[in-house]
Amino acid sequence: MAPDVHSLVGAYLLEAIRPAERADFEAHLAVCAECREEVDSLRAATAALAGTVAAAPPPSLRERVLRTASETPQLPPLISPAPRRRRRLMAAVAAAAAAVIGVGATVGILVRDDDPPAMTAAQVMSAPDASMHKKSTSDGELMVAMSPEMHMVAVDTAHLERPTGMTYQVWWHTEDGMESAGVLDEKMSLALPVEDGDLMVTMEPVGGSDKPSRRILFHMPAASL
Amino acid sequence: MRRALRVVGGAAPEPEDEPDTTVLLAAVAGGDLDAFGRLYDDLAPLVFGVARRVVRDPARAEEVAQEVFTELWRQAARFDASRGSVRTWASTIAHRRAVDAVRSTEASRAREDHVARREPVDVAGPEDAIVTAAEHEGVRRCLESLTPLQSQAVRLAYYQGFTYPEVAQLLDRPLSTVKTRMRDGLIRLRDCLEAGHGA
Repeated sequence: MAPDVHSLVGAYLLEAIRPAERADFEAHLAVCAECREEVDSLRAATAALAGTVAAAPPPSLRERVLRTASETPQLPPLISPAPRRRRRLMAAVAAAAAAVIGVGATVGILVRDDDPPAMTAAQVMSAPDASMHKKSTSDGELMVAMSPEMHMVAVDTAHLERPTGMTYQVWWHTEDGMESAGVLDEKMSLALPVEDGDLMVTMEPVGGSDKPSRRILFHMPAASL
Repeated sequence: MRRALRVVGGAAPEPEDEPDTTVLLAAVAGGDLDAFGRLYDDLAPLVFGVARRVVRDPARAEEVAQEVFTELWRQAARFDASRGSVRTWASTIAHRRAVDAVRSTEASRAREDHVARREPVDVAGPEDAIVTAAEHEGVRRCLESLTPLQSQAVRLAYYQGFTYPEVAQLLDRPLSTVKTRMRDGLIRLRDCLEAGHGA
């Protein structure tokens, strides 16, 4: 491990790291078991510092916290990655078979879909710094989460009624124009890197479209996410 | 309450959960609001305390604590006991949110001026706590076992939310020294707690 990166362990745990360095450090953590071990071994001692400043909150806070919780939906448990991967693989196999027998399936997209994503939507949504946006539509609720730390956006359509033959597509509208950031197809959620532009989610026919249709479910500049 | 610092199986020192806390959290994960109320009672001094210490403004600290509890409610089903205790999890989220809050407010501009002028800063850590549970005495004692520079670096970062370049400026030390002292300060803190010297 590079000595320079290693020396950031303390600053990282104390939240004393600069945002750009945090992203680099976390990218390094993802590939450095030794670093993860050290961070994990120091986490409890760092957190113990909080205990020394424990202070009773005003009694009114309790009611506000409970009221907010009663109005806030909870996130489902994280699903272990293994079964998800299998599902994707099976989908690709099925699609390949369908293509062979001439049932029009868009193999290109499904094959690309078989690459395991670097990060799942659930991971982005469960990031401590994730901000969550909920958009009510006539088909249900769409959730979009952004983690500045991971520099990722997650789109979750699990609570949307999906009409047969239709799916959702995510777009970035940047200076360079409109670009597809991914088609959900049979998936419920998608994680994608943040770009400098507007995030859009539209309903499209399965397989996705070249351009967004008129049915825009969500539209927000990345800066507001 | 020394058991709070007992070493468990040679692992890192855990601010050990009351046996009920993990059970409570499981009930919270199932949407049980009464359990959430009891979890709040367990964790509120910890969460509010760290928020108040870092952001200073009591009203803002309440907002931060509120955000943290909403987060604990949302994420309850995703808590992973193999990665640490509920208290460690809650403290980590609370500290991160508090630091984010202090850096995003206008107050942070005043802080930057403060750093630029290298004014004497309050390096007091835990001393002004309103409520201090006996179980935290060990952490205080272990903090005192750090070298003065380790202790100042850790305290300025953790309790006041300064970044390590700010800490370096405040203490007039090279960046590399400050980074290193933060790391070896935490290592010494961990080792002291594990050895039970704080208990």
